[in-house]
Amino acid sequence: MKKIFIALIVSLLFVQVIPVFAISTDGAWQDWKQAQQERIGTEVGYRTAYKAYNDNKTPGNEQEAVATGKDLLNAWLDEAQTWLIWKNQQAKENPDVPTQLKNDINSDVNKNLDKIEDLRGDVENVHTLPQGVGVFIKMIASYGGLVVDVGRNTGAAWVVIGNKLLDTASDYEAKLRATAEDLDDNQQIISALDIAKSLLNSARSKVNQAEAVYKQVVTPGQPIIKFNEANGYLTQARQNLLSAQAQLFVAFNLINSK
Amino acid sequence: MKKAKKVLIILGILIFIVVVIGLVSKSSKPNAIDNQTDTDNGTLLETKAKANQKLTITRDDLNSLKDEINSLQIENLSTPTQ
Repeated sequence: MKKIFIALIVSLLFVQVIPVFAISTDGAWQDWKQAQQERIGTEVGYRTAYKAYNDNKTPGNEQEAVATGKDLLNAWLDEAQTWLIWKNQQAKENPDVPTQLKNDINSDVNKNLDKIEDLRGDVENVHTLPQGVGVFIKMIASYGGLVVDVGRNTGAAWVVIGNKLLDTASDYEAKLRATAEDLDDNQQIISALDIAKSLLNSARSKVNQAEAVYKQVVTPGQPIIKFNEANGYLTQARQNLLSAQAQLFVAFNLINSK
Repeated sequence: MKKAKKVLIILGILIFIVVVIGLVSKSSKPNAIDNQTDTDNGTLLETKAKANQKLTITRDDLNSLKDEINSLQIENLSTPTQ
């Protein structure tokens, strides 16, 4: 009886511990979403204060507009910071992302988190509305940089996953072919496998093209155009992979019907 | 009372044996039919056995490959204010 009781307590503790490990990415995502909600709230406060200042340009109203403006700038920084942490966590917990890429992502994220800390110092030194606008413009430039870094790294992770899927599909194709070659009257099976192989080769070429173009997602340059171009190659590769998988299924069913 | 308990246990064991035999004979039935059909052509049986032995992937492998391909979501450039 005592043993059963202890086993029950241990199982309960185990069940309690699992979610603690599971929430790290979810928790980071929730932090980002919460920061987003807070930013939306501070936006309303700033707009109200700025309107009051525009209606009546007293020093008091200007100070209120500056204070709420600083709150808004900090809220944007909080939002960007929590987003970066979530993106980093997502990569860290993805078993398909190789260690080198995880390190690159971590390094890019840390570089951008440092930029955010610098910008917080700039916000702290804002005392007038024009100074606030100056910091805002600086923030926009840094914001573009961090979006581009995350985009490039996300693309690199997709390429790794794409190559892994291609390796699996190619392995299945080879195994099915080895089996089919020992069968009599195997023309239909070999034909399906030939189509699958050709589609896999095409997909491999598209993934390679996507990889080369994702590397060009940098500033200065045309990061958004390059990101969309690479996405296009990867989408074609994905479609080829799905068609190849369908042909592998055809071959599998034909082998089983023999 | 003790005798009734004994009878119940023996009855339980007998039911268990009957169920197990039933299940085993049911699962082996299709193979028996297959074998009967295949014995009409010894070469076919040999080829099929050879093919099945070599076929190291399953329907589940192919299905999970499809799921993994579908789960690769290629999205637009993401931003903190999405």
